[in-house]
Amino acid sequence: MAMSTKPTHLGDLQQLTMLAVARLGDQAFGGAVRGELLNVSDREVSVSTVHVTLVRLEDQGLVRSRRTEPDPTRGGKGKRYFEVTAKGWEALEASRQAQSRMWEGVEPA
Amino acid sequence: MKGKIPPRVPEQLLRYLLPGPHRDEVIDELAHEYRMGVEQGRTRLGGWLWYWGQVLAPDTLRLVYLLRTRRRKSRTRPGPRQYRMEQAEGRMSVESVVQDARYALRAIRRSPGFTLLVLLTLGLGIGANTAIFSVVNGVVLKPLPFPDADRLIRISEVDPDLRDWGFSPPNFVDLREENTVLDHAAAYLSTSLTLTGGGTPEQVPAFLVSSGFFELLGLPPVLGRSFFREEELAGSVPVVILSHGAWQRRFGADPNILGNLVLLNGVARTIVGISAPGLRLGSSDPEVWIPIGFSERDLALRGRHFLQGLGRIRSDAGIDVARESMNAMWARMGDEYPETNGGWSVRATPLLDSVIGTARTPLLLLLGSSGLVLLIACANVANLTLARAEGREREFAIRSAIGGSRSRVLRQQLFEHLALGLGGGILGLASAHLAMDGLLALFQDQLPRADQVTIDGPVLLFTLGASILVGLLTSLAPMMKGSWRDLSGAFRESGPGGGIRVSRGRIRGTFVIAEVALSLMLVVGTGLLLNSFMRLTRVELGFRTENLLTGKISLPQARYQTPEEASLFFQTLCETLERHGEVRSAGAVGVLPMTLSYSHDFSGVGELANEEWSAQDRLVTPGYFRTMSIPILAGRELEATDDANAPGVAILNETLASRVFPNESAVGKRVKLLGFPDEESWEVVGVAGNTRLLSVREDPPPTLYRPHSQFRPSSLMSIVVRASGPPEELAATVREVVASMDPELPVSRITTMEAILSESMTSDRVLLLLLGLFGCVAVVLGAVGIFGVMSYTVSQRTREIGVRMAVGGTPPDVLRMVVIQGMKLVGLGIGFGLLGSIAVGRSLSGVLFGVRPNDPMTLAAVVGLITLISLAACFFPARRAARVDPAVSLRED
Repeated sequence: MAMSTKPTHLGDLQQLTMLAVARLGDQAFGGAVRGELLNVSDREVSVSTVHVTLVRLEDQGLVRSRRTEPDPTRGGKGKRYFEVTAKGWEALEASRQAQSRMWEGVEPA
Repeated sequence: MKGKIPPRVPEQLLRYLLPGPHRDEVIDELAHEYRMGVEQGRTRLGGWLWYWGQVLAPDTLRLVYLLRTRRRKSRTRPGPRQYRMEQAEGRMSVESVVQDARYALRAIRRSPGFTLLVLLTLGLGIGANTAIFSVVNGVVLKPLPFPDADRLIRISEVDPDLRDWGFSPPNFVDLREENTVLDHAAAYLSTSLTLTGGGTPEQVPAFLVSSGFFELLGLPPVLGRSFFREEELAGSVPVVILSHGAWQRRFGADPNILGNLVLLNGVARTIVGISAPGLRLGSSDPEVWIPIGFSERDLALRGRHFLQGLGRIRSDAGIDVARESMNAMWARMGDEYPETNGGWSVRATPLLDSVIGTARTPLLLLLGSSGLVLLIACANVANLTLARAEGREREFAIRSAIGGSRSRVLRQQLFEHLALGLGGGILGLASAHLAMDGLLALFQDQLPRADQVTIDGPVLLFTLGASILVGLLTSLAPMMKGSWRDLSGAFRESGPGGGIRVSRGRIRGTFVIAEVALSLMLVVGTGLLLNSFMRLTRVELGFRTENLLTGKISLPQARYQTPEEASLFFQTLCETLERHGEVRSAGAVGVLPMTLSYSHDFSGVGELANEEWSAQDRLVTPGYFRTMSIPILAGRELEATDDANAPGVAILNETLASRVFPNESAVGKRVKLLGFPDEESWEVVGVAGNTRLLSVREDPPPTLYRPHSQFRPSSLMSIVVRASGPPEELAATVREVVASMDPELPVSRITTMEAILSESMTSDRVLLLLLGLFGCVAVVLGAVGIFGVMSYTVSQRTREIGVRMAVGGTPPDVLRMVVIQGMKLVGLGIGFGLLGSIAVGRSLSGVLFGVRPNDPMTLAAVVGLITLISLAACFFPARRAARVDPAVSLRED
């Protein structure tokens, strides 16, 4: 599938979403990711935006998801939990390095 | 806590759109968000809007797209298990949709008789609606064919009694020069002129326009130029602009036409331009445009209001601003010229509204009633499908038994009905297309903007919408009842002889009630219109219309310069005609009854000089009263001796005489035009009977008749000829006589008085005809509906009836039972229909004449009619029931 071996370029929201998934550990489902984005990075995004981002990341192989057994307290519906894949970590790392290289020699005015 | 539940519709939509686990998560999260919002004080509406915003947000749609394409990619071909699961989930995938559509088409093909019946019913209903809507669209909805047409207004002057008048030339000029809200102001007069040269002389419709007329409409001439400001003054070089149509028809679209001369009313005019194609206002379609020709006298008299005013509002001003500003201006003019302008104001209406005029109401009424017909058609089709669904119950049961989900079955039914609806729509479109010419012909040129009526984009959209709506409506009933009952029941009950289920009977009953109610409403409307129309045709007009021929003659001023010449012409014409064997008598009048209003303000003399009264003003020849059979009630008729050299005389009609000279005889009194000196007054020599002049509906207006010979005669007169036989046969005679007197003089609009009368009632007749047609269709569909339901009920109850008969019931008992069962529903329908009729009557009240909207006689007659037809529709199934042989029906089990 992959056209190039270069790490995937990440958008701003993608980076933040992946970091939120990473921070949440085994509690990273859609609603929690949205909460984390709001609480930590002060980004308010809509429900569907978070899901779109997660689905896209998953399609690119940067996160993966698993479904839990139906939760008895939630009317028998399962949840989908996300975690960052190795490829995802690679892309995150590449993004961070790109950023720090760009910051070198830049002094905030 | 009800407010904490998210709105259902968008949530269901989302549930439908999103597949799999994401669906539940997103919906749960949105519900959570929604509750938070409510807790923080968001209103119901705010929450609702917020939720819809979330559902329709681009990211949501993106999510739907991503997940759906992802599912398709992950799957090559559905295995049986996967397919069944999908069915069980009832979700819409492309494959399953195609499959369902195919299945629907197959089901339609399987029962051609049913399909044909449904298509015809729906085609009829949709066709009627499409045809009427295309007329409404062309006449009422489409903008006028001018750039920024919404900024065009018609302006009229309004007197202190709030009556509308045209502009007087000086007031118009002031408006044009001094207003601050209009880009353009223009004035025009509609008339007809005699075009000579190239074959027989012909009377052609013409517009006299001020300069700036074409610029105002935004359509400059396609060839040549428009009129200059100085050309609008009398005595300037005579010029003319030809209409595009006249240029093509008369001059073969000659590109070198500019600079040529045409003879109009005896004046040679230079062609300076060709107007843009399709340039017309309302139903008047002028062939030539000439400058308005203001004389110095015109420009000095502020009290003569005869110009039609048009304006184009500046883009930064609205119509209200324009009104306000112009009225402020008129208030200032009232101070400046108190005797002519005191108390006057201006009225501005959108040009489109003024062009549509009175056509709007009947058209909207027709659209409403064709909508009712469509509803009845839908009820009938729903009933048919309901009956058919009974037969398919086993099919549905089998399908759910092997894993077909309820939603899948419902979806297939929906597709079936959508396909039927669309088929009906295509049929309707075709029939509307075929019926269109006939429909427009019904209006007899009385419909403004009839040339704009076509089946175009908006009409197609309307038909598509109607078809889809019909599909949805007709699929509702089978959906409500079908496909989710428990399977064993369906298997058990679908055998012959099963009892009728209450819920199903109730749905059918509802259809019968609705059909009866809707047909009753339509028939009540028809009845009221019929009643009103019959009264209209029986109205006492005050003159006899039979065997009366009329025609217009316009004497060109170039050749008939003195009043004596003109009056001599008409006198000789009438005398020559009367010598003809078939002519009983002949006369002429300035304005024929039932065509136009032409009124002046008059007053008495001496102490009555300040008493003004407005009256219809008619110039007539002595033979007019005799020819029209208008009786002279007091005094004498006009005579040939009442000529320019004799003392001035006038005849009042009864209404005017009793209004101006109450309790005394008007004969011998004196009257005059308002504001003229007493020496120019006339003696009232007679009182004539009242005649309806303006329309059949309007009471006879106060009318004053003056001898044509004593005044500068209007150059345009209409002759009236009473024949001893069919008047049409005299048309050639009239033409010959006129040609023998003046070969260059055309007689236009030769027609009978009855035709003029009939034309004046066109909209009444069209409304009656079409509503009557809709009413008939409604009654037939309704009767078929009742018949169908009762037949079905009887067939379902065969066993029960057999038992009744076996235990001693007689055929009359059974007959009575079935008829009563049906008539109970009909009774309910009539009750609802009568309630609906109140609304029908109210919406018709504006077009009714002499009939109250809730006329008890009409209502009683219609209820009687509907009851009779319903009885017949119930009777035949009941008779079949009464003939049930108990032995046979019981053996069937």
